[in-house]
Amino acid sequence: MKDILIRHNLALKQQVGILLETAEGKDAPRELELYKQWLLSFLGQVNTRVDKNLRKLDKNVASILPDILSYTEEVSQQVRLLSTYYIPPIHRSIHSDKIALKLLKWLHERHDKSVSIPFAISDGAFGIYPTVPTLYYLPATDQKGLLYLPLFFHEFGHLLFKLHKPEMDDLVREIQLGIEEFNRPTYVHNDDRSAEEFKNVEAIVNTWYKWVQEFFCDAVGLVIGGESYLYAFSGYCQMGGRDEFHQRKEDLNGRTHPVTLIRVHLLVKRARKLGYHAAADRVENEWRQLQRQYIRTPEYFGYYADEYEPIVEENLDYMLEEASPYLFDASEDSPVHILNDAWGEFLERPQKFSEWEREAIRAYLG
Amino acid sequence: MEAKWLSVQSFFRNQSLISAINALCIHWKLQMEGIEDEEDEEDVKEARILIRDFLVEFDRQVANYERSMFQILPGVDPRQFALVKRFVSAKRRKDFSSVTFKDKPGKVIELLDNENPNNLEPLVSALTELRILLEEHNQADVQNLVPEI
Repeated sequence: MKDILIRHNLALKQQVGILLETAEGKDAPRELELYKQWLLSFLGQVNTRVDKNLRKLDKNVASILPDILSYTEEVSQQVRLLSTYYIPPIHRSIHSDKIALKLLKWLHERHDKSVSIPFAISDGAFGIYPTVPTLYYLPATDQKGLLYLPLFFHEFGHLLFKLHKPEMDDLVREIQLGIEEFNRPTYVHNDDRSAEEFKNVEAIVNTWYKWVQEFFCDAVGLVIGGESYLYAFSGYCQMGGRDEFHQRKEDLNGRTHPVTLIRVHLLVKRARKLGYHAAADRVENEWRQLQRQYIRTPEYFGYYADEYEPIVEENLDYMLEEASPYLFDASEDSPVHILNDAWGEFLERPQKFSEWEREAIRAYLG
Repeated sequence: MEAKWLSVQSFFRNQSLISAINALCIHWKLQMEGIEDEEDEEDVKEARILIRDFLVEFDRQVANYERSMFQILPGVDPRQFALVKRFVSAKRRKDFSSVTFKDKPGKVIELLDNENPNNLEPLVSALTELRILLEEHNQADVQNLVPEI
């Protein structure tokens, strides 16, 4: 066992060396400086762990071999994860990343808890790894444009949730308990039917932990991005087909995201509360037209009901109060303006949009 | 397959716990062998706090789950919830041999708070079982994040 562990630790040392060389050798944009510093420091810590493993192995104490094995497995997984997810943002870094990086830097700097969190972007479907450091993903087609950047505001919501997790979990709990109460069987018998009902309540309530977080992130997106978020979200999901409107009962159990039609419904309601009436009417009307192509009346099998809305909306309001995201203000200078202008242009003059967008990006990057 | 943002959070959380267990187990085992090792003193101090905090919360979650009529744990993220369920089903299958851990996770806290040479062996065996539980649980996150070849 000792020999195996020595061999693996020496191999890990070599791999960490390669990762360090890769990270150090690449000139990263200014916005990635904090991330690069984190990466180098973390690789240094991994290297120290490997050295400690080797020194512990040198002590020749058989009883600690299982613990060093566990440590070695841990480092192996870390190296794999670094190599798969955390090195590419530096390795792949290209000039056009500047658009998204500048926006994210502004976003992180607007919030006390995120200002010192290193972040980077990488290729993939819109998403986030809300850890320290934070990784944001965006598709290659959207890296050079403005229209779908507001979706980052939703992803940033996941980070805010994580940064306020104890308070957020308490509020999620309130919503889950409300939904549980609503679905609680009136009579409980010791039979298969009751067991089935119990299982159904369990599935619905457990699924809602993830759904609350998505609804919260949508609300964050709207608060930060204003109308641009509503249009971006709607535009991004509209051509997703039948799945955006209807899911089978078995597919709803444990589903990571709520059915898009419900998200649009809640977003439109919140948009009206924030005064974005024209955008809300437009988006609602478009989704109604599309809905008619797929379903007559939505069926959510208890995973959603109008009766949930008061408790959901009330607690989402508390969650927003707790996280306190930047509130878009049309009179203030911020990059959110350019995103709202982009959607205004795109909806009014789609044929001339590319030209407008090129100029707007040039002005934005200075 | 769980959402990747949940898996990555769960992965880092569990790794820090596994790492803390390793630091404590090595420290106690070397102590039992009569070997001085001051290299990880700071790590051991932090590890004790981390494991204690985790056990306090985990104990509460296990108790709430065992009491729950609908098998739910409101306000607990799905990966942590899965860990609680994993512990409860292993306990029901009588998978644990460590006296302290198989009863309830909170029992380990009493030993941690009252660390003395007589307690080291039961502490090592309890934390070794906790580590197995965490490593098995972590495997699902690793597979979700870095698929098998």
